[in-house]
Amino acid sequence: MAKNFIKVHDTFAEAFSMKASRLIITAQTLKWAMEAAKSFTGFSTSVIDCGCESGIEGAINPKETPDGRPGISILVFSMSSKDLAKQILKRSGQCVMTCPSSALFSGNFGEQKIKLGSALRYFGDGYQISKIVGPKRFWRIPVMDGEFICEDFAYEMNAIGGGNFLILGNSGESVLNAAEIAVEKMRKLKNIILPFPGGIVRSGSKVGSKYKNLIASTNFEYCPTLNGLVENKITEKVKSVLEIVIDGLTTRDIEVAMKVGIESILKLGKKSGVISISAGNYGGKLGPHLFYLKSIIR
Amino acid sequence: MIIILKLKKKIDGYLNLRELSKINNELPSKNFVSNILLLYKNKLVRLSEIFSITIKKNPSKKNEIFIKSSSIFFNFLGYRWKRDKLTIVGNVGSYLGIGMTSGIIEINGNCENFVGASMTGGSININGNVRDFMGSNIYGEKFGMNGGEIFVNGNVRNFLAKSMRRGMITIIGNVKDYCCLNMIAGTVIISKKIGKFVGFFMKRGTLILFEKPRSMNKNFLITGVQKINFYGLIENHLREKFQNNFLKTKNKYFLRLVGDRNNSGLAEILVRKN
Repeated sequence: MAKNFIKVHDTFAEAFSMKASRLIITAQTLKWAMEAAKSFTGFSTSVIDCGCESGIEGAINPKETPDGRPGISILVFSMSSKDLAKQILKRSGQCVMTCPSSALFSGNFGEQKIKLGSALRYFGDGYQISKIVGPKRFWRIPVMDGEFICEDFAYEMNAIGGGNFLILGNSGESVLNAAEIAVEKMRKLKNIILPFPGGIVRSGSKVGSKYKNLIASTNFEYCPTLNGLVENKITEKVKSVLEIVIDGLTTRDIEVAMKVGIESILKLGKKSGVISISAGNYGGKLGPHLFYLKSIIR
Repeated sequence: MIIILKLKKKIDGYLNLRELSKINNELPSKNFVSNILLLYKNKLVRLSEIFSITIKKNPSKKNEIFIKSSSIFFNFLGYRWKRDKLTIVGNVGSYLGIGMTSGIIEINGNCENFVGASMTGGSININGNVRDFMGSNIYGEKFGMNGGEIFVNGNVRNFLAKSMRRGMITIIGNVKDYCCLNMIAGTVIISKKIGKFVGFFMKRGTLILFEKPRSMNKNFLITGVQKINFYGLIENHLREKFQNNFLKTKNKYFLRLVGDRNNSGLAEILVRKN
């Protein structure tokens, strides 16, 4: 299948079930809310070795935040409830509580609780104050610039991680340019994050390695420098491949994000230097969620 | 079910409506409601003898009870109230919503003493004035209000939130003396004037004042003027609940006092800086 002379491979992206939580960080200005959010979501590109995948979902109008200040919504994904709780608590304590004027709230509701303020409150050394406003409990922890306000619990929800597509092109510049355009469009969507730097991955991985201790290694099938050396999936014309990985709350969210991303690249046409669009999978053995490119862009 | 109770005759003596709370968690029939026993002038009477009863079906699982033309003789309304909504047009007597655990009580009129005393949950909204001991402990109880929320669009008299332990009280009006006496925790917000003896023996909890009190408890230490971002949560909560910008203020700077030091207390009184 081809659109605007860009080929779309007849393949699918393979994604797996994850646990997720949405957090809202507010601060005196959007700049400081963003600083806290960036700090929180730093070093969380992949569950392979970061413990979680997280990213900024978007900015929130002060009228919609719990305390009426500018806010940022972030989504955190992990493979298990235990890892999710551990990562959220650590990052909240070290990255949000430390950020000037920040406050932290839960952005979703669920049955499974994740400790936030109920654990961070001990930093107050006895001077912390609990406040119940409406159905929720908040903690006011005294800090050097005033108070750090933190909701008692965050909540877990089911989610999907690892939705993806690959952009294959005739030069590094052209593929990066196309990927940037796709990311810009996809970042406007809610309920998804693109956890990698700038939303783009260059070191796509496969499961396992020839080295015993590694659980993942380079996806040599798409490495242009190994063309001819190994059995790969790219032609001689392809000089660069970049991947966009999507974590979302539902299959529909990921489908929409993939559609928006792929269509924005297809619109660029042949001149852009993009040769084809593909997707990463493990033969359908790893994850239960399969996203077929053809059905997505139909 | 929607249950509408209208007065059949004029009430001129003590009426105890404690048993009305039997309606909670039921899908009551007209017969069931009619036979609820009330204490009127020290005599047991059936509800149908005092009220005319109309019952309508309601798609919601929760019951809604409307009482029209009530008076200050209506005591113990909403006693240990659960789940359902009780709406009253007219004044009510003492002990409104005591021991309430959930649900909503709405009053369009004035109330007597002990409103929401020892309640543990739910919400009481009053469009009128209230007398003494609102959110306090009833006689023989150690703790006062222990959860839930009370909103008064009017004035309140003495002993507001005495021994209060949890929950939130919002007053859009004046409050008289002995406010937050022996308060253990919780939040009280007062938008207008407050009388004497504020916060004596407070242990924890927060009293937010929009106007400076005439006399301040000397056992409270002044910690200075601070920006209280937490107040934004209360503002938003009230806006969501009532679709009205009650107590909205751009100025989040408050003078913070901590005490009562005579009681080793860490309670705070926040006085808004104008």
